[in-house]
Amino acid sequence: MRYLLTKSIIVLTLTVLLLVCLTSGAWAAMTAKANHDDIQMNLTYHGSTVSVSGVTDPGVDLFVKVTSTAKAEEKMMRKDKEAGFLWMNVEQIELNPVPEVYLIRSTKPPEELLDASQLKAESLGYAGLEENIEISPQPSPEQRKSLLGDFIKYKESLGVYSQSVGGIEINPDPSGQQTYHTIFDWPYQAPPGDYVATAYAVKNGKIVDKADCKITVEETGAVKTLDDMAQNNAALYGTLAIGVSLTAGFGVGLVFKGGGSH
Amino acid sequence: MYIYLPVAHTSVNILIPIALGLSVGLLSGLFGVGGGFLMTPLLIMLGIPPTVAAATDSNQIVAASTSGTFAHWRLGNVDFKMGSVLLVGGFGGGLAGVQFIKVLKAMGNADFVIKLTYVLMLGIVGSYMFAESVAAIRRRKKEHVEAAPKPDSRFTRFLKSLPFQMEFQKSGVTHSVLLPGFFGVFVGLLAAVMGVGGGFLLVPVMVYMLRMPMHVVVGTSLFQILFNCVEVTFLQAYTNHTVDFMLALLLLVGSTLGAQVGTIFGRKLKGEQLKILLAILVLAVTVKMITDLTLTPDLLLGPAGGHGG
Repeated sequence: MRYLLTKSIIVLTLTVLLLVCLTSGAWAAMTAKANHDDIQMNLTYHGSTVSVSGVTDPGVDLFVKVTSTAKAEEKMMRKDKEAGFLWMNVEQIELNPVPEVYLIRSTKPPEELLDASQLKAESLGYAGLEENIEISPQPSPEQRKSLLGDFIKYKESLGVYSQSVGGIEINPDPSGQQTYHTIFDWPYQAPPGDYVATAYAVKNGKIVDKADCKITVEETGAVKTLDDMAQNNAALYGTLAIGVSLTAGFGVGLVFKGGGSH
Repeated sequence: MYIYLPVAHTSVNILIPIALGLSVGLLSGLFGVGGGFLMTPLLIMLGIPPTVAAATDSNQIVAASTSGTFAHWRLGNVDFKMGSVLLVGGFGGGLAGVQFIKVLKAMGNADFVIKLTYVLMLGIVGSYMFAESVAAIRRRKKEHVEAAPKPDSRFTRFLKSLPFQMEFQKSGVTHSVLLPGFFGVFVGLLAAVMGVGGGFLLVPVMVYMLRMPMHVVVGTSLFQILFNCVEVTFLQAYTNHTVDFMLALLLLVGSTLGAQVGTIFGRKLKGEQLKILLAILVLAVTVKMITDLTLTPDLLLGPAGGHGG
């Protein structure tokens, strides 16, 4: 009897362990890989494309988000009417923290996939992102909504923010999982730095898995040399800029000698 | 073909800044203005951050005004003595203007005062130049002869009574050195407040207040702008790191050529015709500014930094 009981406990334990392993195996199965994870900015750079792909469990919805790892404070000018009819910059406001780049795609509208608290926790969708941004000086709730809306539109006009539903290709995988693939147009306005692409698997209103990969954007060649000099050797850079301008002005003046002096 | 701008952190089609430089350089050679009040907003429209646009514009004006000053110097159109006095006054005015801006910012209404000053100055200068030039052209057509010199007004007599009278041979005028010094301070102050080089203010001052011939005004104005922009470029590069050398290079390819072509065209036009064209340009910018100020903007939020150029 005791033998049977011991055997049953061992079998039960092994079953639980197996289930745990299988479950954790499924969680670990989600992957994310960017095909173009080291973007080089040279003089002919005009943006790039970044495709993010991986495998995940079947039957899940997905978010794929690309954002900068460093989030900074951004100073903006708020416009309002002065003297009743003139639109002017009336005050400087600070938004913090805001990512330099925020690109997100999902298989369904974010609000249909997750509730507001989960969207906020992972900054998913503009709604989730906006919830995490503090504005100083603190505006009224209506003004805050309007300011954040305009901020997003401003960033979209620069090409560094975008949100869309769809555009993620999902296919069954022979292993029983599914593969996903999406391509982002990488904006040339995005500054050099470290970025991260994160894929989220969502099921029944919960995030069930996530995976991420790093994307590095770096200046090379003449772009790096000039930017470094402008930032770290400003006196030489300024003198050089003036010297070249003066030389070019005189040079063209000499070339046009005949035309100008009749 | 696109080129990536290392400081502006954006990419532009090479032909666009060259074409912009050519157009603004043409105006520079024609009228003796730096063209910052046109170029900076155009660069911002191209996607260049406002602070980089303003600083880089100063850098390219160095090239355009060198080219223009050189061309006008060969034509004998630069009054170095007058230009130097205006330059000294303008430097003092600029320092005072920067302090004035600090006070306005502390009071919280800097933007309002700057924009209003901009619109008023552009409107007044443009309207006056336009009306005066039209009247001069009509007068010339009616009389078919050069107007006889008018007897000295009370104001002219007052100016002649001022101490430190100096003859400015190239301009063919004699003034107390205090007069161009005062106007240099005045233009320097306004230019600092408005964040512009001040060419479009200095040109009317030299024409109407200092009674200099229009062609000498253009050359002398470019000479003064050259020095101002050398100073501004260095300060912007050194303190704000906002000069984009690649962008400046593309702009100056166009602007140095444009300044030469403008000088040649300007030589073929009469003083009144030049003044009326400049007046139309200044009035067009005024109308654009008034429209921008009164129409509800698409976004009630904009980037911090930069100025009107």
